[in-house]
Amino acid sequence: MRSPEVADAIPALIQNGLLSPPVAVAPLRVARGELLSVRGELRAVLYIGVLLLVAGVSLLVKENLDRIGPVTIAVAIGLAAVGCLAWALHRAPAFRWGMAESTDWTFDFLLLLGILLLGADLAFVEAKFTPLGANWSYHLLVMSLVTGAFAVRGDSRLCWSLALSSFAAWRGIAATRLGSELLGPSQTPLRINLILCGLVFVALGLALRRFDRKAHLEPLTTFCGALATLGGLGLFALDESGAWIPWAVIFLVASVVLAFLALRSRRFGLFALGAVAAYFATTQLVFKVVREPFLGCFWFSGSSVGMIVLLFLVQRRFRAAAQEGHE
Amino acid sequence: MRPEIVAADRQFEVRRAATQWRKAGEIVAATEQAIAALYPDDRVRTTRVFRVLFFFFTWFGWSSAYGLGSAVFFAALGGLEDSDSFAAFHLLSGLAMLVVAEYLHTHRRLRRFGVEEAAVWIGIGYVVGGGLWLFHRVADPTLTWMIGLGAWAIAATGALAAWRWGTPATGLLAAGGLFVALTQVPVAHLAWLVVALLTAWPLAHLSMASHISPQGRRRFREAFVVVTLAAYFACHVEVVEARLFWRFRAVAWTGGGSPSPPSEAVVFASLLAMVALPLAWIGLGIARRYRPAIDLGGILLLTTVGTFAFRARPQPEWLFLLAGGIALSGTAFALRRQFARRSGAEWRGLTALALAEDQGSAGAVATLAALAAFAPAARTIEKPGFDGSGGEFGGGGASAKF
Repeated sequence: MRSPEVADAIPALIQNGLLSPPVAVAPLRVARGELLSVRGELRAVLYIGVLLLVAGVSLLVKENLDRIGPVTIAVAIGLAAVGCLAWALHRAPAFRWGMAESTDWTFDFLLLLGILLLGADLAFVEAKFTPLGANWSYHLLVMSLVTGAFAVRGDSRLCWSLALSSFAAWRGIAATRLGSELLGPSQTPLRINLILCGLVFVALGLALRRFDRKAHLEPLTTFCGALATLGGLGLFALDESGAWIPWAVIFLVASVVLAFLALRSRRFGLFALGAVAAYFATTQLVFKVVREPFLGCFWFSGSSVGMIVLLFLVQRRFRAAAQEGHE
Repeated sequence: MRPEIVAADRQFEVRRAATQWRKAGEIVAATEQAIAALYPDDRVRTTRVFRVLFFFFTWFGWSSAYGLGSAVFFAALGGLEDSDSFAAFHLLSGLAMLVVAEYLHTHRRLRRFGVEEAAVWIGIGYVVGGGLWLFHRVADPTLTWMIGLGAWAIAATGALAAWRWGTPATGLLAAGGLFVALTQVPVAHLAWLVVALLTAWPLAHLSMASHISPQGRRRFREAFVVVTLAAYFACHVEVVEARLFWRFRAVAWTGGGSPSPPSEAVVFASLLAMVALPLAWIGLGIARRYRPAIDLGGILLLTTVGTFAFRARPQPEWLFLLAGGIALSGTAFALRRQFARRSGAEWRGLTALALAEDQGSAGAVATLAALAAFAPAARTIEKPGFDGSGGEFGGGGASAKF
C-alpha cells in the first residue's frame, strides 16, 4: 500500500540491517506508489465472468430444454465441467497435506466454475432422469464430497467453503432459511440439523488439525461449525413456545466454553463469537426470569460496561501472550 | 489532529507494513519485532475483532445508559414538561460526548480501539440530532431548511471529526452531508456535477500526500469515493430522465407543477458521460496507480453496462449473459497472459503478482462473495421425497428450478 511513512522508513531499515536491499525493492516501490498489485481486481473480473457464465448456462437450459433435449444439455454441461476441472487439475500444484495453494490467480475460479457446472449437470440429470428417485437430495451430499475432494486436491479455500455449504444444504440449512426461521414458525428439525451440522464441522476441523491434514482449512471449518452450533442453540433459546430455559442454559454453557477454549488457544474470531453468544444467552435468561420492564436500561447499560471491562482484560491477555510468544 | 497522535499514526504505519511483510514471508518475526522497537507506538490499540466489539458495546451501553439517565434526570426535575429541554439535553449530551472522545484520544491515548470511535459517532449523532430538534422547536423552519441545515450540520461535524481525530467513515459522512445539502440549492444538479468534478482529483491527490496524516489520507480517500459516486449519480441517465434533482427539491416545495422531460441532447450527453466517467477514472487510476479510482471506475463501468442492458433488453437474455461472461473471463485471461509475458509480471507499475498485502482479508472477501453467489439452495427436510411439481436443487453451489 502506498505510504510516505514506509517509503521514508525503508532506507533507514536497510541502513540498520533489518531489510536487505533485494527484499526492500518491491516494498519501497509500493510505498512510493510506483508499483500496485491489481491481482484482486483481476480476480474480481474473473469472478463476475464466472457468475455471468453460470447464470447464462442456467437460463439457457431453462429456456431451451425442449428444443435442445435433455441428453444434449447434460452432455454439453458435463463436457464443459470436465474441461474446466481437467484444466484446473493440470495446473494444480503437486499434492501435499500441508499448504500448497496455487500461485496462479485464475486457478481458484476455474476450479470453482468446473464444480459449479458439475453441480448443475448433476442436478439436471437428477431432475430429468431421476436416478436417485426419492433420495434425490443425496446429490447435495455427493456434490459436497466431490467439491471437498477437489478443494483438498487443489488446496482451495473457496471450494472448501462451498463444500461445507453444500453439506449444510443437504441437511436443509441455508442462510436465507435461518432468517425466515427467526421470524416465522418454529422448525425443530431444522434447528436440530443446524446443531448437528455444526458439530460435524467442528469435529472435522479438529480432525484436520489433529492429524495435520490441510490444517490451514481448520479455522474456517471450526468457525462455521461453532457458528452453526450456537445458531441452532440460540434459535431454541429464543423460542418461548418450547422448553426454552434448558436450551438457553445449554446455549450459555456452550458459548462460555467456546469463549474459554478460544481464549486459551488465542483465537480472536472464535472468542468474539463465544462472548457475543454468551451475552445474548445471559440477556435472554435475565429478561425472561426477571420480568421487570425497567430492567432493560439497567441491564443493557450495566452489562455493556461489564463486557467492555471483560473485553479489555481479555485483549490485554491476548496481547501479553502474543508478546511472550515473540520473545 | 494533535501532533503526537499524527506521529504515533506514522510510526504505526511502519509497524503495520512490517507485519504485512512478515505475513508475506519477506521478513521473520524477530525482524518485525526489531522494526517495532525502532518505531515505537505509544497509543493503546487493539485487533479488528476487539475493536468492533468495543465499538458495539460502547454504543449499546451508552444508548441504554442515556435512556435510563435522562429518565432519572427529568424525573428528579419533576417530569418532562416540554421537549425543548430534552432537545437541549440531547445537544449538550452530544457535546459532552465529543469532549469525552477528546479525552479518550489524548489522555487515555486510545487509537483504533473502538471505544473512542464510538464516542465520536455518538457525539456527532446527538449534537446533530439535538441541534436540529432544538432548531425545529425554536424557529419552526420549513422542510427545505431542515434538510439543508441538517445536511450542512452533518457535513460540518463529520469534517470536524475527520480533522480532529481522523475517525473512520467521517470522510464519508462529511462528503455525503455536503452532497445532500447541495440537493436543496436552486441549481442542485449542476452544483453536484461542478462540485464533484472539481473536487474529485484534488481529494485523490490529498489522499496520497505525505504532509497529510495517515488517518487524514484515509478520510480524503473516503471523500473521493463519495464524490465519485455523486458525480456518476448526477450523470446517470435514469436520474436525468426522472429529473430526480427537481424531485429532491420538490420534497420540500409546495409550488406544484411537474418538470419538463429532458431534451434528447441532454439524454445523449448523460449516456456519453456514463461511459466517459468510468473510463476516465480507470485511465487516471492506472496512470497514477491509485487503486480507489481503478476499482470505482470498474464498478461504475459495470453499472453502465448493466443500465444499458436494462434499457436495451437484449434478447435472448442467456446469450447476453454468456457473452458477458465470456467477455469478462476472456479479458481476465488475456490480461493474465499479458502480465505473465512481462518482466516481473508488470505493466506501467501495475502487477498481477501478490504483494505484501493482507491476504487474509482478501481471501475472506473472496470466500464470502463466492458463498453469497453460489451457495446451493437448501433442501426442505420436512417434506422428503420427490415433489411432482418440480423442486429446487443444486449442489456445489449450483441451484436451479426446472
